[in-house]
Amino acid sequence: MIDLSLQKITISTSVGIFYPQIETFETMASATAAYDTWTYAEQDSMNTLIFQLMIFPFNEFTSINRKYQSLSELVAQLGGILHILVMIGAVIVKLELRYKRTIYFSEKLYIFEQPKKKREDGPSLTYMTNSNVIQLTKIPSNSKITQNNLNIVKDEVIPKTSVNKEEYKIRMSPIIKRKILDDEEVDINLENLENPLPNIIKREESSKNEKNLNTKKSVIDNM
Amino acid sequence: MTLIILALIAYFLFDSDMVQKINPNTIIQSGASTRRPPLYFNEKNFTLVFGLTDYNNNFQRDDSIFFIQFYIFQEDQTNMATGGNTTFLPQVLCTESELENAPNEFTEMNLTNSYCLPKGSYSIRGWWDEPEMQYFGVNVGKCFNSTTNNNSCKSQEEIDEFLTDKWIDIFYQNNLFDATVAQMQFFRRGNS
Repeated sequence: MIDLSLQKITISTSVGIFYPQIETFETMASATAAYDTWTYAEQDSMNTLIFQLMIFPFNEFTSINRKYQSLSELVAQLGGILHILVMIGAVIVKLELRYKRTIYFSEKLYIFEQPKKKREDGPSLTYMTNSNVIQLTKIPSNSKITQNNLNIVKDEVIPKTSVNKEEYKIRMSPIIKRKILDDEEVDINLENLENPLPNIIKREESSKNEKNLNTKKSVIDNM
Repeated sequence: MTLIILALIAYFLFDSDMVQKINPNTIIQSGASTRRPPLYFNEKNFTLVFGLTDYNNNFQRDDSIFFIQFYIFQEDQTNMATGGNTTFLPQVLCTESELENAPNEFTEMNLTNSYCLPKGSYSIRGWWDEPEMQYFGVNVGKCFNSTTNNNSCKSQEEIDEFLTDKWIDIFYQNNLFDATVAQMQFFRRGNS
């Protein structure tokens, strides 16, 4: 005779991806097997039984809980690592922004002299280029516009905050518009200063007297 | 910085235990109850093969010499005085279709003429000293003449001679658990 005991086994497994979702499965396994030579056949009135198998449950049980990593746990772990990375990144970005801000305000508050571009022929008509910075040149009140002395433009670097429209007559920008004679207009493109002055000289030669020159100068002064 | 963070996220995602289904936190608890808990099984989750074999492990079947009975014994307070109730189950010869869990075992183990667990759901519980008991049993006995077999049993000498070199072969399913395998709940293993 054999008494076979089956043990109950409960297996719980987390199968969820985002959150642990428990899936329970029950099975059984052999726990004990008791063999006995005493057979029921001896007690059988017919004396026919020669073997008997009895299957019982076992009073001990086993529970197996298996838990895999879920997405929520993974994100939580990543969050801790990323938080440190973000802190490091914030320090780097803050230093970079501080440096850029310093450069930005420096360029806004002050105009730094750049290398001058000179004409190859004729009197020098210089200009200064500085990105997005308005450069004003002052025309002296006693300047004379003559063929031999056309150095009427005097460079002067001034703070942007002290711009005075009355004092500075010519405003230099990518395109400079100047009134030279009477109502005529002469456009000077600083980006293409090939030979802007000959036109001015021609007009000056057409009206040579001093009075007209003073008139022109006064016109310019009134700009 | 963003790329670094994304790369780290991708690395942790695709190399994580979650995706690869490894390194589970496994807790195995064992306990005991004062009363034996009920256990349910059927032909799908439990395989039981029973029979008589000769010296070469070939199952023998001869109703005129021996019989095999599958039964359920149930005893509780109501029928304890009468010795309980025994419910006999029909005999089922093993085929490939009867071994639903592993039909290939029929050929591998040469289970022709063996008896399988009859189809149905069974529950076992309790013990002799408990108020309620129910167990699953298998009997092997010598043939005895009755009206059910039309007195077709062979003589006692022939039966004894036949049984002298025969073996009782029991094959039942045991389940082993491997926590490292995520997909498989248990490993089926036969005991005999």
